[in-house]
Amino acid sequence: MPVKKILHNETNYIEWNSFKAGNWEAFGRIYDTHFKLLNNYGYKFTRDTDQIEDAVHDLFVNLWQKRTQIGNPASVRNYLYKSLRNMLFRKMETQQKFVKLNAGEDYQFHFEVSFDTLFMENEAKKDLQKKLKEAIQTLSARQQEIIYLRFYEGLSYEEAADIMNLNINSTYKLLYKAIGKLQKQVKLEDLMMILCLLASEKTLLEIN
Amino acid sequence: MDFSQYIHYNYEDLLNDDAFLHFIIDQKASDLDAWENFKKEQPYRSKVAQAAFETLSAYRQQKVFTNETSQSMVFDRITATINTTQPKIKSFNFLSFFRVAAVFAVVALTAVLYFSFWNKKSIETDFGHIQTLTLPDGSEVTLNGNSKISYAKDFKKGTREVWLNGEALFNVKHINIDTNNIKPAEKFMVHCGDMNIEVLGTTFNVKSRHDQTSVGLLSGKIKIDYNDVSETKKAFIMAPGDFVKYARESKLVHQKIVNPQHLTAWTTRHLVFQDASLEEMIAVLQDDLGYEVMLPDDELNHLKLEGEINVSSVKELLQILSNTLYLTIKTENKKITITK
Repeated sequence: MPVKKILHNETNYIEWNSFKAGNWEAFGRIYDTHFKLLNNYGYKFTRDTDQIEDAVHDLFVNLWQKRTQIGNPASVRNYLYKSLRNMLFRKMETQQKFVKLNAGEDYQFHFEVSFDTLFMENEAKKDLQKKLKEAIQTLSARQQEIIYLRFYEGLSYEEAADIMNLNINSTYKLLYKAIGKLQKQVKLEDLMMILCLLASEKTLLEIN
Repeated sequence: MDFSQYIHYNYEDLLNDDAFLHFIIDQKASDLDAWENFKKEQPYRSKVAQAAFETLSAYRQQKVFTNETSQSMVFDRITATINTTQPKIKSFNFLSFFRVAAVFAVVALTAVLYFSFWNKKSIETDFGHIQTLTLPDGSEVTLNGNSKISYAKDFKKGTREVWLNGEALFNVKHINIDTNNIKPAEKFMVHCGDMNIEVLGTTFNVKSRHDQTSVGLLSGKIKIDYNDVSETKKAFIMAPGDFVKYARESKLVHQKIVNPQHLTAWTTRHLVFQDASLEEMIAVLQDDLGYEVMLPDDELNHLKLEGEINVSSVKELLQILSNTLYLTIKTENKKITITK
């Protein structure tokens, strides 16, 4: 089952340095390499695409204007993720303050992934995904985000901690708790059942 | 990859294992073959690993939002913003260098004369140019096109005072500590027309053109005062989300801001209108962007476009106007003629 993914090649130092030296084409290439990734990440926080586009706009305007002051990040993608996240939060916060000026409510952190059920080839897997989805919805937004950064983006604890402005210890704890909760929800027995089903389907196929 | 190492792992350990996670993410053919073999050879001892594999695979089956259709448009907007805030000099050219130098010399000379005469510093923007500046106290001001702001040279010493003509978004630095005891130096004042806006630290948008001033408050608290107080002109305090419109000799209109982004849309070069009349839209084209709009039939001024318009270029705006109001619009450089 192929996972739909945005292809990504990490920007190398040569490209990054050439952008910092004022090469407009290099800047354009960095934009092109990361636009889809940033939109996909931003979409987890808000469904307001204008707001995501505004944040991407501000992010890249800032990047160009401050290019002489920026260092060399270990990963350009992670660096941009972190900046986009900060940018989006600032935007959502000012908007929130405004809309709910009398309610006195705190800004609500939101994170949501949408599962793709269309390409699931069999019922057992669909069922597993459904269980997983229900389990994930019981987690806090922060836990959902860390799971996403770890299991979808494949980041290390250090990288996820840096993006989310957490220390490594609390990142580890957060993810550990999230996995524990997931395990409780998606019971191991259920998983075994699903595996049996998958296995029997396979033997059926082989017999046929 | 050797999967036999995982037979003693529990479910949690597997989810935490970097190598196992990257095997699933990367889907390398050689690893997948080894995985199939492992499952075949160890059907029972591989069960937990299979459970972890299926869990991660199911989680990774997600919808992707690429927003690809907007990719080039957003880049154009980025280019436009960068070009207005800091002109890009492509290559060194003696003639253009000389021209730039000459312009600088003239600007510098007038600036020197101006400052020595008036003891005031002022910044003025051209039509269609948006500029963000930081005042000596750290407050940020974004000026819309065709706008002017000036402030006293010794800005930091006394009350922080600025004079505005045009439109600006203020983000005032808060330096007051004790709200019960506000020192004059902690105040920030904006003068426009005969209206005065007094603030502590907040974000708000002011538009002051053609003897008409409007103020929208995004956060914080501000006090509005007038040079001469009368029955219709009394000082009052605005709360976040408040919007007031005021024209000399007429009553103050008080509204709530419905959509905060509309108020600051101009800072990102967006043209946003809500239930606006043609007259209001023409005012923005002329005042902010420097277009000359010819409207032979005065009656057309009152045409209204219900709903929201949110576009990022004048071209788009005119397209919408001609389509929805059935108007004929001719553009020639910065001259626009609108007829029925």
